[in-house]
Amino acid sequence: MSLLSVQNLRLGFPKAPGAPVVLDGIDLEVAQGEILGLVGESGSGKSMTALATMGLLPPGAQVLSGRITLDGTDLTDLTERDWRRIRGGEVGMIFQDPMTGLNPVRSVGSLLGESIRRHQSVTKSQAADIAEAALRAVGIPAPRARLSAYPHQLSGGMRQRVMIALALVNAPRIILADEPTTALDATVQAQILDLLRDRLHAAGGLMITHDLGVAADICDRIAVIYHGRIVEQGRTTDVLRAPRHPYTAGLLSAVPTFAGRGTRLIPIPGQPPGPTARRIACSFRPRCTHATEQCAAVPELIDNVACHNALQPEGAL
Amino acid sequence: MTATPLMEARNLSVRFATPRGLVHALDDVSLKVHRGETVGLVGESGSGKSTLALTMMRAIEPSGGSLLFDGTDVGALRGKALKPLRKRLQMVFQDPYSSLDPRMSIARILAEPLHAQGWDKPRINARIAELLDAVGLPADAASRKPAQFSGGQRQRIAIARAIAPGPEMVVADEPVSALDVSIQAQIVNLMQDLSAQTNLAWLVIAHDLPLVHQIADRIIVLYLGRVVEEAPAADLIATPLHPYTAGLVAATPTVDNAGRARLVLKGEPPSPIDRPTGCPFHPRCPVAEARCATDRPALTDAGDGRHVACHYPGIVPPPLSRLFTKHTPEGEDHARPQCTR
Repeated sequence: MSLLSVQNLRLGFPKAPGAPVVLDGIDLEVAQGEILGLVGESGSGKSMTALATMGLLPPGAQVLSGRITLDGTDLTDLTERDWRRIRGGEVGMIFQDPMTGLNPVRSVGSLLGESIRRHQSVTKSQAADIAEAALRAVGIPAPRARLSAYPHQLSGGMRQRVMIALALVNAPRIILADEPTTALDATVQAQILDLLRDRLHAAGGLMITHDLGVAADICDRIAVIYHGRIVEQGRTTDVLRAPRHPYTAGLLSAVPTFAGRGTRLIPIPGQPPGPTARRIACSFRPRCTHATEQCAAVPELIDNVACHNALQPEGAL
Repeated sequence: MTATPLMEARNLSVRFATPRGLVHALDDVSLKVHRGETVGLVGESGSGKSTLALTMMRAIEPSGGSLLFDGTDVGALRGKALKPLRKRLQMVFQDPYSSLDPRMSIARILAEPLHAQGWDKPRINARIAELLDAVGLPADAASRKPAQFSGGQRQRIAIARAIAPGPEMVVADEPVSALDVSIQAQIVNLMQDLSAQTNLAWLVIAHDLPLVHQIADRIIVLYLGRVVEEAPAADLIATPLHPYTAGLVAATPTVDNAGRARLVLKGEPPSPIDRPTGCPFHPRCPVAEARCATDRPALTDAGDGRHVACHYPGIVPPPLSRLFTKHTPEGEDHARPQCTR
């Protein structure tokens, strides 16, 4: 059985103008010890999927149907009180921006201590020891001294390590990471990716990213999301070397690689559909160079690809 | 190239006084951009790349050094005397959501730099039509406002504004980093087309190394306000001479290097307030020797159009030697004692 399971999740803003449905039947499975990358562009619904699995939906958002389960426990209808037990405990969370993701008026030790004492019955001094060990485990030098530091006193990379320590400190069953390295410099990003690869594999991880390179770097499997639907999923190497959905193939042709210098990038024409666009046909059809008459029907995800004219693996990278 | 460079910075320094001390944003930076050439400038936060862009635009006063455009010193020009330079040198900013005035129509946005150059109305209107066509926007875009356009279209408008007076060079600071992946390629292609059609020179500042490698003829790597390496784009990536460049290339995840072993540079770039002595990179350098902590390496000619500021250029640390085979072929490690550390 999978660790985290999202089944046919539909999510929308019923009261907003145009009643946008931002997730239209998302199915995802994350197995124990696996990192799944959810890859998409802005507005695709990738962050909303993550927020739904954390019980952190913005005001107005509503789960219309579907189920989210963690180790068999249904998370869909939890109360805020139940969520407080799960968030930071069974579910660890890492956000993009460590400057806004950490409370600036609380010391690192107080942030960690609060989370530890909420989820574990330990004394304050035991909590401080656990906090110190958690900082050491994410590669923070002089962890004892760092407990009294405030977020602004740390560099961007160190702040992100603190956020990872916070996510891991109560030994969560799954870790959700939303663009965890996007705000970091390249050399620091590499350090954090190495840390995440290691730590997320110890439990299970769902990583949200717009960066195919980052996904390639640490994810075992990739799911590509477009206009609120999974259009392709599979093992990372398979998806990147032999994409079957024209959108995945299009993204790969649009991204510069070190090997590709001298060849012109091939952009995907047009724009992604807006949030209120209806799904009466394949959402990618207006931008797709492989579209046929069949594409007037919304394709289902069959055999890991949602396309009427899925590419053959020979059309590989 | 022996021709007069279109733009040249000589020993440029920029220092800012802050409450916490003096920030050496740029320290003795020299660079040249030739006509029609695209130069990429890469570096991490605090490397001084944006300061360099703004200094070249004369938006920040240099503390030292000189700035030449087409052989003329423009570093001392003030006020109206800068107007002829503005016609020839323009800029594109990172965020097309904040760089376009939301209350202005596209026609007014594009007309502004032309008004400033004293163009008359019929000429301006003809030029607006030309510009919209050149950047791939419909003619009726002129009457609309920025809010009616997507991020990618807005960046096309920002590029149209930059090329409006017919500049010879455009400085672009992170021109695509605010855009979605599928849209970035559209803008990159537009920039390349404009170079080809009008012999426009670009100075492209970006943190995205594969992107700069794609677009640039030459790449300059900045670290803590200093140029550490400069080389033709393909050479810089294939055979980096500076250990920082090697680390940066290795640290960059791209879709075609999934799962490869990487050298992760330790630590983070130090603060430009409290700079290390000697080579600014030595505290993080995997091949540093004692002298690197005391002697600052000068940017020296390494042949083939390459320059590097390192006491031990071309010594690629062992985890990377598989990646950059040209400089440390198998079995040659014993001849390079520094490699074995």
